[in-house]
Amino acid sequence: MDKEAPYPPGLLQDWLVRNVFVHLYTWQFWLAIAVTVVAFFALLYAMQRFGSAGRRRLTVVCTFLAGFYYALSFFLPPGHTLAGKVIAGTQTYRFEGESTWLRDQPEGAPEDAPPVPAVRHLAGKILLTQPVEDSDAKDQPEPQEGRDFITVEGTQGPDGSWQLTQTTAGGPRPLAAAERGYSVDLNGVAGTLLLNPAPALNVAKAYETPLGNFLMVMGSFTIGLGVINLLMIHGRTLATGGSGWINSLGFFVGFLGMTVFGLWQTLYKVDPADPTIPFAVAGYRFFFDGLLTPLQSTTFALLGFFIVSAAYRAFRIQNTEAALMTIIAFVVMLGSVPLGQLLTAWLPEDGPASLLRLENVANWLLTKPNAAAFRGILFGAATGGFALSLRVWLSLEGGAYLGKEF
Amino acid sequence: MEFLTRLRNIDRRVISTLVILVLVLPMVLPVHLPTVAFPATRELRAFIDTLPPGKLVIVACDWDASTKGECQPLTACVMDYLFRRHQPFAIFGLAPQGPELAQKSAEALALKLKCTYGTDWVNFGFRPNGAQTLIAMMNDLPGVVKKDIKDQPITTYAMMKGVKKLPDVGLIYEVTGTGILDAYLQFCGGVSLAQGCTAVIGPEQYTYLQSGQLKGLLVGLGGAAQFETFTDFTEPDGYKGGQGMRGMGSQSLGHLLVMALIVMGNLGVWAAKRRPPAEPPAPETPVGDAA
Repeated sequence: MDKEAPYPPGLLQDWLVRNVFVHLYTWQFWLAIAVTVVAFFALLYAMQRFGSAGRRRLTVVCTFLAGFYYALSFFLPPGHTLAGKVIAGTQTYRFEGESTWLRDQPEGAPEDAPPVPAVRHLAGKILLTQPVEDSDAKDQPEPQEGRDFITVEGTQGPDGSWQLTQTTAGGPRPLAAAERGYSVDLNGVAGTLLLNPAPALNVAKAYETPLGNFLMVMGSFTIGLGVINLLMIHGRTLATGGSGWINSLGFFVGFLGMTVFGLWQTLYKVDPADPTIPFAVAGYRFFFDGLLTPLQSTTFALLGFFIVSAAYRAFRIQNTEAALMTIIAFVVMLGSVPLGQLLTAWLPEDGPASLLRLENVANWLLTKPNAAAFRGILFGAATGGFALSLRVWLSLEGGAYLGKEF
Repeated sequence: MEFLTRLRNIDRRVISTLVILVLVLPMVLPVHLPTVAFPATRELRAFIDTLPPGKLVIVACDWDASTKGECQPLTACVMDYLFRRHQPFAIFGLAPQGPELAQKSAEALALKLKCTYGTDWVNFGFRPNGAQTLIAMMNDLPGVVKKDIKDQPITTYAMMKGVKKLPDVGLIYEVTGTGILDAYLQFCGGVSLAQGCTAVIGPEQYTYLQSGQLKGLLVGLGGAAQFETFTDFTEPDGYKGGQGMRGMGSQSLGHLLVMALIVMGNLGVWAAKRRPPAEPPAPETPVGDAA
């Protein structure tokens, strides 16, 4: 649980932490694991009994709830900003602040101690002078406490009122509640601080971290699912001696080798200065550095041959557009590599003539016309993506798991 | 003309042989070719230079062995510069192999520059489920990452002090050959981002550079070579440049070969159009009719 968060506590968060997600030890810990495993298999069995229509309904409900949660978390205001103003006679000053929710656990409290209630803290400034907006004005003096701003800090009580203090030369000075706000002292001039806190309604944000962890675990399970699938398919081929059995054997050698040596090598710590390496580490390096990495690189490198061959066959200048595209492709290709850049290296590096250097022309083509074209494509793709997301969320999409029987 | 006509249909085996030759030749006979840094490259270095001392940089290695040829130099050149600036960084990846492959690069660079694990860099390792992981890290980074690849809680490292959530880091430098940058852009609002990407997805990323969402962009092996030149990357043997610079000879000749082949293909088409149509065969005289 966060000790400090820029958003309010989640819905039922404290209750859940006190009563459900508690630390367990010894037999209770093992009992909880056993119950979880039994519940997991019971759920799997129940899902099998549901039939495909039941599973589909469950998927639809889970998809909607997950999407609804993240929509809530995104749209509800977290309430971490605190705007306001100070009225002192005819003058008005801006107040800018931020709030956080802190759980001040007592010193020396054990890690698994129940959480103390989160208290909203405020830290802000009354701006006596407007901050310099010009980012180029680097020589401006640093703003000073008292002259340029006054710091205000405090906490919010259960009734919603604030207990605030302002920083003065003599130390923190409590701010008394006035009729509409809080009385402040602006270097001898009395003023009233009017706070306008953003509503802190976001009761979902606090669950993003545990949900993220949950999804990471689920993601790891999907890797395991893929492994089981591969083992079943290749195991069947190998057992029956079907066509391509040698490939299945290759899979098993690679999979077992990587798994065994991958886990085994974690038991050793290798000193880079020591030339001798344990057998487990050597085996792992053989499979990872000696097989997997070159094989993947080689497979991807084959693309190079296809690209060259495709460019040769496809770039046929049949009309003006194709000619323009070819010329631009040549300029970008030449401007991106040193040998091409050498062609216009005789042009000056600065001044108007430098714009004709191949690297500058290539850069202009990439950052201006290319970016404009891609932005158009992205807008189209994003609109389509948004529509597709809505369809998936509301289960209107007829793809796998939502529209088909499985 | 007949020779030109034949150019429109060069056998793919000839093309493949030429590709191998132009890529291998500069590796056997290396030539040092100076390269000019694009503004996007210069912007990345300028942004790193503005980071306060001790501010953590995340090097997100969302790549695997298939794109190692481009992504490893792109990762190494920035890590080298961060090491030399004593800017602490954390390797992290949403692709399983990325952090492990980057770790090897980091160890080699650390050996060269005498940097220490845990002080100058850490490795968070791989985390699945990109978008949800990033959302959770935006709220609580140590709560999501928990331990590094050496099984140590990341909060025990001094360099992690003050890093409670993703917005506390100075920069995320993301290296990838896929479109995963979208997830960072969508869910990591308020965090400075820069990218190193393979050349094939490079054109798409310039959109985000122009909009200011990326603080710098290195595209392909050329991007790595530019950054190496611009930051005076030096190999332990004194070679000015790293893997990016070493690959520039092959890349230059490769580009020239593609251009030459395109020209030849079009010459062949042009020649075929200008060739006079073949004469119709003469009518055959029936044999034996004379009698």
